[in-house]
This record gives sequence, structure tokens and C-alpha cells, in this order.
Amino acid sequence: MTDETVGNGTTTTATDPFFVVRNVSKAFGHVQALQNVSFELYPGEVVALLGDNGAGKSTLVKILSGVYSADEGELFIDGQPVSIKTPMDALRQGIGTVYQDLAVVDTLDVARNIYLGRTPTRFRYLVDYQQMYRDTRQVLALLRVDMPSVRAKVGDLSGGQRQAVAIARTLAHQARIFLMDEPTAALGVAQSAKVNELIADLKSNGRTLVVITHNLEHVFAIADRLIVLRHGRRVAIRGHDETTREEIVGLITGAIRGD
Amino acid sequence: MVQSLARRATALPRLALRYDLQVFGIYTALVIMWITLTVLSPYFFTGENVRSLLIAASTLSLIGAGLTIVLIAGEIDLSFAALQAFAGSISALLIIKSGVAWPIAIVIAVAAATFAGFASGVITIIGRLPTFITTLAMLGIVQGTAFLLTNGQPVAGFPDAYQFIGNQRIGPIPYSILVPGVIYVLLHLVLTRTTFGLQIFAVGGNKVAATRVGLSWKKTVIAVLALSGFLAGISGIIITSRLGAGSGTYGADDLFPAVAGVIVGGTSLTGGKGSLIGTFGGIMIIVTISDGLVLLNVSQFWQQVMVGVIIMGAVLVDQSARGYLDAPWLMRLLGRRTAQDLEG
Repeated sequence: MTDETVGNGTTTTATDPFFVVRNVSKAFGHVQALQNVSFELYPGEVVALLGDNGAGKSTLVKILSGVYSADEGELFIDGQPVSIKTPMDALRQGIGTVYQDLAVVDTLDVARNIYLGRTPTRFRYLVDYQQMYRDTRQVLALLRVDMPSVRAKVGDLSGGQRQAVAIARTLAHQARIFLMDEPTAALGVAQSAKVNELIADLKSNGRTLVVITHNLEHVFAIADRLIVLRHGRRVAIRGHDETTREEIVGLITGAIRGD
Repeated sequence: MVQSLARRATALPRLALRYDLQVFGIYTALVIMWITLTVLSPYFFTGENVRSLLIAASTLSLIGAGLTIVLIAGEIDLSFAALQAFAGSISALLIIKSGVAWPIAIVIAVAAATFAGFASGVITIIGRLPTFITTLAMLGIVQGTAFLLTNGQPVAGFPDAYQFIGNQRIGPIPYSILVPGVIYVLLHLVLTRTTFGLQIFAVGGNKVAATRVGLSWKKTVIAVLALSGFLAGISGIIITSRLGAGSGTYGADDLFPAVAGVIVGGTSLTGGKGSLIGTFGGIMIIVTISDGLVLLNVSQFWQQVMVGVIIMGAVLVDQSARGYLDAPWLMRLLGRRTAQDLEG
């Protein structure tokens, strides 16, 4: 079914995958980081990317976000093959990365951060601040995020609020796929809960989220599907309801053999 | 209802905060200095003295604006003061020794200064060097070239038309205040209203984050250094026009007062923060100090000491604003949050 959809892309519906990764491989010197990895993404789902350290999760995400380019394999968006060489290419194709480090500019305010690189303008060169602040309030309302003010300096915000700014930026760049590497690793309990709410809101807005996390509790709370990598191979794809924590742990450690 | 009232009640302080308390403090300090000097010296608040203050501030503000923009982008320029002498010497040489028409000479001289800034930027990028090094090297190159071109002597004998810029007025306002003033306002608008201005703030605030959304750090560095060179070139032309001669020394001593004014004006040395409104206030403070001390018959050397002390005060205020002072008691005294408070 997947192949048919890719073949004539025009028949794509909401339940068809809009993003296809096929047989992606990547080696660093003698180390085969990824080997023939394939999967699809559907609109409005949360996919958890799981695996032990060195399983290839980060390499895979970096290929999708344009930091690395794959040695082999293809990417399709809406049935069209796409080439992603830089993070900007990825962003233009609707693949946004929510960075965990150095994501925001502390010295700029919330609105300027959210529309960084995509500032609304008048006469091409002038920043349309009115529009920017209006849009920012909309984006924040959509995400149900509380900010002291759209003019607050991001350096004065809490960790959760900064994460929200980074997510709102990806939304403002009109990304369809959000790549998140350990989005709650640096956050406290309440702030992690808020980020999970954000993820749920984005999902109900039809966005697709690919989340790397080590926290299985977190995975089962948010993910619709789970992709398990081991030694650079995709060993399993499971729906949330088709699997158990024990099976996933077994797949990650190699105690259970994959598909 | 209650919320909207509360929001309205905080609107006014927010307006005041928009340009930072430090900028507000600078102008308050400036007004106090002016009132004090007016009381102490009958000559201070006369049209002639105020005009000479503004003339001194005008070219300093121009190069100070260039430095401010470079610092906001997270870089530094040490060559701008020497570039004034460089541009002035080139125009003197072309007009007086080679007989080139003065408007063409001005264009060539300003272009040469702009190119020097551009070259510093390009070398910074391809050599992966700090701008501290590249612009320090450029300082040596252009300063030396200026002396070589003029043989270490002032080159005089400009046509009247050239000296017009430096010496004529419209009503009470000399061109040498008007021209920098107009450029200054335009630069302020570029910095605060355009996407280019926003890019400078973003790159200076966080190079990595800016690059990830497609704002090029490399282009920004080259652009701000070229702009700084351009402004130094204009300033050099105004100085030579005012003094009627080109020399390797004219303008070269402006490094210290310009840097002092910019720092006092609230521009952060770590990038991402600064304003031309603050820089103008800072430059006015420095210029007022040197003028005031002359009027009060205080030794010239005290001026340097005082400016040095003021620079230290200004950088400490900047550090405290960001919660970086390693003295919690002082932070509490100033009502600031420490870095630890901000993390928690």
C-alpha cells in the first residue's frame, strides 16, 4: 500500500503516510551507523524512536533534519523524492527540529525568537512588528502556553517556557514534522508535563512528531507508534496498543529478536 | 477585567524599560553633568560651546555607531579610528597631490575604508579568526598606510568646496553635525526596524540558533565590519574637511573615547545587546567630561583617568544586569537576580 501511494502520490489521503524513509544507510568510517532503515510517518501521530546508546537514533534524526546526508536510501514527501542537504532544506520541506541546546536567543524577546528567520515584513526589508506580535499571540494561544509577555526576553524564562518557544518557532516555520531529541531531559516534573501537553496539542493539530527518549514511561504516555533501532537496523515497529513495556525493553536490549 | 487593568498599569514602566534602565540612567547622568557644569562655568552653556561639543560628538558618534553595530553582532572592530585617518589621507592625496575632482576622491576614499572593513570580515571568515585579531592587524595596516601616503606630514590645500562640509552651516547647524546626524538616525532605523537589524541582534545573541534558521553569521560579520569601515570613511572625510588637511594622525586617537562612549552607552561586549540611542548618550558623556574638565582648568590627564573609571562602572552595571557579578551581596543591594536565581 505504501509503495502504491508513493508511486502516484496524488491519491494521498489523511490516513496515508505523507513521509516515507526507504532503505537509508549511513556509515562513519568503518562504523555502520544505519543500515537499510525504512519507515513511514502519518499526519497527526507521535512516533517514539527507541534504542540503546549507539543504536543510530541520533544519526537518523540528523539525516532527517539535514545535519548529515545519507550514504544510501531515499526520502519521499507527499510521494515526491526530496533531497535534504542542510537544516534549511529540511525546514523548507516542512521538517523542523526542536533543538535542546542553543535553540533560542536569550537576548531577544519571545516574538522575535519565534519568528526568527521567518520574520513578517512590509516593503520586503522592514520588520512588521505588529503582525509579528499578533501572530505570536496566536501561536502561543494555539499551544495554550502561558508567557509573561510576548516582549519578555527569552533569557528570563523558565526551562519549560524556553522549550515552548523553541516548539512555537518550529510551528511558526510551518513544519509538518517535528523532530525532538530528549525534549524533557533537562526539565522538572511540571515542565515535562507541560511539554507533553504541547506534544498532544501539536498532534491534534495534524502535526507529526518524532521523539527520541530514553524514558519508557514517557514513551507509553505520548507515543502512538514505537520504532526500535538496534545496531543501526530497524528491528521493530509497534503500535502503542500492540506491545508491552517488556517487549520493547527486550527489543532494545536484543533479548527479543526483531522482525 | 482585573487582569487588563493590571496590564494597563504596567504599560508605562514597560515603555520606560524598552530602551533599558541603563540608557535612561545615561541621559539622567548627562543632564546632571550639564546642570552642574552650567552652574560651575559661565562659558559652558553658550551656543559656541554647545556647538563645539556637538561637533566633537558628531564624528565620534558616527564611528561609535559602527562599533556599536559590530559589538551587537558579537564581534569587535579595533580598526575604525585608524580608518578615519586612512580615508582622510587618501582623499587629501588624491585631491591635493593628484588633482582628482573632490567628489570622486571622497567616493574613492570612503570606498577604500569600506573595503578595508570588508577585507577584515572576509579574512575573519576564511581564516576562522577572532575579529579582535583581524581588525587589530587592519588597524596597523591602515594606520601605517595613512602615514606612508602623507609622509607623516599634514597634507593641506583642499579646494573651498571640499572644506564646505566641515565648516558651513544651515542656520545654526553646521553640516558636520547635520550629515552625521542624518546618517545616525538612518542607522538607528536600520537597526531597530529592518530584518537586517534583527539579524545582527540574533547573530550576536546566539550564533548557532541564528544559523539554524538560515541567518548567516558569516554574511553578518562581513556586513557589519564593512559598515563600520564605511562610517569611519565618512567620519574621516568630515574631519579632514573641518581641519583643511589630511594626516595620518587625524582621528586616530578616537579609539579610546569611542570605545568608552559605546560601553557607557550600554552596549554589551558579549553581543546581542546595545542601542544607538545609548551610544549617543555615552559619547555625549565622554565629550562633556573632556570639555568640562578643560573649562574647569583640570589637567587633561585626569580626563583619561575619569573616563577609565567610568568604563569600569559601565561594564560592572552590564554584568550585574545579566546576573554575572560574583558578589551576591552587591546583587541584592542592586535588587538584581543572580545567575542562580535565573536558573532556578
